[in-house]
Amino acid sequence: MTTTPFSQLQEPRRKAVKMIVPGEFANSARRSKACIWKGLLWHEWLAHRKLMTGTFMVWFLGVWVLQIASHPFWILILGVIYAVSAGQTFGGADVKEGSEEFSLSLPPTRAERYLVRLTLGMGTLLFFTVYGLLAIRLDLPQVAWGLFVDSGFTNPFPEIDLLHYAMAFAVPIVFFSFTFAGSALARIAKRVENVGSCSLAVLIILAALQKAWPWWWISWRTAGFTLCWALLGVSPVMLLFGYLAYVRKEGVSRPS
Amino acid sequence: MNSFEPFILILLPPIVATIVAILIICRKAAGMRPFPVHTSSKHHLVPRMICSAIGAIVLIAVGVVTWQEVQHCYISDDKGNTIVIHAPAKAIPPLPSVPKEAGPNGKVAINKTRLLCHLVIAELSPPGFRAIHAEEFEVQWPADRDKDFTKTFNLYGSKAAYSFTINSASSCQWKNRKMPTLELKGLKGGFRWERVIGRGSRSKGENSDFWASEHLCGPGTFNDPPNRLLSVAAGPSWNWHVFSFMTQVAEDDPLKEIPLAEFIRIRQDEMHRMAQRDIAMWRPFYQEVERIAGANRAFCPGFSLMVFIGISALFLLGAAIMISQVFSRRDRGLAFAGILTGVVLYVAVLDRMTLSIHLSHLTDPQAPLRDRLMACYQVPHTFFYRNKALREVEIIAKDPSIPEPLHNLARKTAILLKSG
Repeated sequence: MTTTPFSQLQEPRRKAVKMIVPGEFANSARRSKACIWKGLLWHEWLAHRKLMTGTFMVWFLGVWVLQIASHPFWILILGVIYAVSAGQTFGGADVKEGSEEFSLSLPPTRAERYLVRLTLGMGTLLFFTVYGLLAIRLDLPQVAWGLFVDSGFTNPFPEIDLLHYAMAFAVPIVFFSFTFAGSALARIAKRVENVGSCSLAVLIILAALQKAWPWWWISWRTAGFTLCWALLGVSPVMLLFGYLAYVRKEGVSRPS
Repeated sequence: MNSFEPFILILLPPIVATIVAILIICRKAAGMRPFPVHTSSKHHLVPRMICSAIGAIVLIAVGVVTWQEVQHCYISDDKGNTIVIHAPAKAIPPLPSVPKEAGPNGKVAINKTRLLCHLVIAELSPPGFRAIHAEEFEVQWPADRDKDFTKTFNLYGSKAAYSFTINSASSCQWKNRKMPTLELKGLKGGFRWERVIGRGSRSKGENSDFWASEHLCGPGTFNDPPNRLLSVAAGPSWNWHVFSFMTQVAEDDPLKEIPLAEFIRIRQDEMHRMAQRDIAMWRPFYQEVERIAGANRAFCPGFSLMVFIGISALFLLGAAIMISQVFSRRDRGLAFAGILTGVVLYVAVLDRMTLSIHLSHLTDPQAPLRDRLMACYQVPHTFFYRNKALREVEIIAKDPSIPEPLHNLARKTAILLKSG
C-alpha cells in the first residue's frame, strides 16, 4: 500500500484558492452578510418555532375559523401574551440557557443578532395584530366563510370604537419593545423572568387605570389616543436604547 | 334528492383528509423534507395512524347518525290502531263531595277506590294527535299508598322512564283572594317523567303535587328538541307531549279494550288544551334562549355553533385532535388548526344535507301533509344556510295553492328565519 506525501495532498486545495480583487470585496461582504442573516433567521425559527406556530394556531382558529370574539380586545390580550413571551424568548434565550458568551464569540456580530431577533419577533407580532385587527374591522372572516355558507359565520361584526383598535395595536408593541430590550440586556436568567413579570404588572395597572380614570379631568377617549401615540413613540426609543447597550454588552455564561 | 348523494357528501371529506395525510407521511418517509425526519416519528407511525383512523371513524359516525336522525322525522308510524289499552266499561262512579258548611279548606277523605292510570305519549301533528306510545297501571287505594309505580321502555332508540306515587286521596275545597271557591276531588301525589337520549341529553317532566278528578289529567310535558349523541341535526321529538290520565273505575268493572286512537279521540279536547298550555308556558323560555343565542351569534359565532351542535361538538373536537396525531409532533399544532377548519366545513356540509332533505319534503306537492308540516318545523334548525331556507319558505308562504295549515306555518317560519 502506497502512501501519498503530505505536500501533494495539500496541493489541490492551494490551487483552488481564489484571489479576491478589491472590486469584488464589497459583493463578497454583502453575500456573507446575507448568508449570516439567513442563517440567523433559520436558527431563530428552529429555536422558537413552537411559540410562533402555537400562537398562529390560536390566532387562526380564534379570528378566522371560530370567530371567538368579534372585538379588538381579544387581539390585545393575545398580542400582549405573545409580546411578553416572544420578548423574553427572542431577547433573552441565550442568557436563560447560559450560553451567551459562546454565542457572541461566533461570527455574527451583536448588532446582527439583535436586529435579526427584533425583525422576527416584531414581524410576527405585527402580523398577528395588524392582520387580526384588519380582519375584525373589515369583516374578512365573514367574506371568507361567505364562499361556503350564507349565515351563521357571515353576520358582520358590530361596530366598535376606533380607540379599541388603536389600543390593541399600540399596547402589544410597547410590551414587546420593553420585554425584548430588557431581556436582551439582562445579565442573569432571573432578570429575564422579572422583565416579563414587570410587563404583566404594567398591564394590570393600565387595566385598573382604565376603570378608575378621573372622567371629570379628561375623557378616556382623548387620553387613550394620546396614550397610544405616546406608546408608539416610546417603543422605538426603548428598542434603540436596547440596541446601543446590547452592542457593547459583555457576554455572560452563567447557568440558569 | 338522490339517496346516494348525502353519503358521498359525508364520506368524501374524511377520505380526502386521510389520502392527504397518507401522502404527507409517504413524502416524509421518502426523506423529501429539507431537514432530517425524526426517527421517533417513524417509530410511532402505527399508533398515530390508529388515532387518526379513530378520528375519521367518529366523523363518519357523526355523518351517518345525522342522516338517520333526519330520516326519523319522516317515519310515519301512527301506533293509534296497533296499541290497545283498557278503559272503564261501566259508568265512572262519582267522588264524594265536600259539604258546604265545611268552609274554604274543608276536606273529605276517600276511603277506598280503584284507579286506572294511563301514560300517553303523542305528537301534536295537525289536525290531531299522532300516537307514539302508551302505558297503563291499575291502582288500588289505599293498598297502594306511597307505592312507586315505575315503567321503563324504549322510545326510538332512547330510554324513557315514567313513575308516579299517590300519597293521599281526598276531596277538598280551595279558595284564595283572586279566585272563587273551587272544589277539587281526587288524589294527591307526584308524577315523574324522564327520557334519556343516548347517554347524554335528557328531557324531564315533574309535578310533585297533582289532583285527580273524574278524568284526571296530569301535566303534559313539552319536549325541547334534543340533539342525539353524535348528531348535528335536531331530532323529530320536539313536539311530543306526555299526558297522564287517571280515571276512577268501579270495583267490579271488567274493563274493556279499546285502541289508543279511540282513547285519544275521546280526550282530544283536553289534550289540545294541555298541549297549548304547555307550549304557552315554554314559549317565553324559548324566546329567551333564542334571544341569547342571537346575541351570542353576533358577538361570538363560534359559541353559537357549539350550542347548535350540542354534545356532539366534543366528539368533533376529539376527532380533530385524533386526526391531527397523524402528523409529527412539530407540525401537530398547525395540522390541528387545519383539521378543525375542515371539521367545521364538514358540519356545514352536514347542515346543508339536512336542509336539502327537509326542503325536498317541504316543496314536494305529492308528500303527505304531516311530512310537509314536519319539514317546515325543522327548516329553521339550520345554522349555516338560513338565507337559503328563508328563500324556500317564502316561496311556500306566497303560494296560494298549498293547504291552509302549511301556509300558516310557512308564514310563521319565514318570520322566525327573518328575525334570527
